[in-house]
Amino acid sequence: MLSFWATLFSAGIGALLSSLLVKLLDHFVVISSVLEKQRDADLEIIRKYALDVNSLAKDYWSVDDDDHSTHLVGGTISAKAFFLGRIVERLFEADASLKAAVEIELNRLDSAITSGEFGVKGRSADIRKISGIEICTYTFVDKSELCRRKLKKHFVLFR
Amino acid sequence: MDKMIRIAEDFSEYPGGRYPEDGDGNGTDFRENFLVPVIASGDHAKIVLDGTKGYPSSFLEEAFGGLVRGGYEAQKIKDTFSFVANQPGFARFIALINEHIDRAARYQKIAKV
Repeated sequence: MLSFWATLFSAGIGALLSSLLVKLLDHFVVISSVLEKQRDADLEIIRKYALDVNSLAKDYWSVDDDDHSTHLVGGTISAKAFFLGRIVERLFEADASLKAAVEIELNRLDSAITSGEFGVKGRSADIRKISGIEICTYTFVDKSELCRRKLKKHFVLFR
Repeated sequence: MDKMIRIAEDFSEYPGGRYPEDGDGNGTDFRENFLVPVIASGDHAKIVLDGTKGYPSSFLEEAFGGLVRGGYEAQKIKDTFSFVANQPGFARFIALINEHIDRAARYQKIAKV
């Protein structure tokens, strides 16, 4: 009779523990999935901002700037490029080597756009820059996507 | 004790442009008023990059690449200035500055040949 109760008690404890474990694992899987979604959202912002900057930069370098009329576009480009850097840093903060790889491409894009006579009053249009801007934009986006895929799953339990 | 140059507070929150005619915050003014006095006197300085609204390459190139064109060795520039970039998104500008110094030094070498 005693053995029956002992078996029942052990089975009860076992069931309780396994149910707790499942709940705990579920909890971490949910959190992990939320964080993965945030990373995907960051990547989407990077893609959008990079294409915005690309489009603005092409407008910027396609025209002469006789009276500093493209000053506003130049400021917008600088601001967006700056925020791209912030998002890259946030997205890849868990992996320094991936962050460095993406930042190299971002710096190349930044230089392709904001080097030379960028921000200089009376500068001339420079359509030779446009192919460099195109290449650097798509290389940067491609590198960001590639490195995003390489980021390890965000499993909070082991952080 | 290193001198501190806080770009956002001491110079401009919106650095940009190369030449004085490009308006406030241009690279030439920064180089001549902040960088040259330090390097010419043999001092060292910490440059705080945080707090501005970013750095266009043309500004960084004019300020730091301009030092190379002004006759200062790339290594001397790197030994003289160190950088503080703690805000998100700012650390990458340190790499850009070093690139501009190295590139300007390479062009100087080619020009001499």
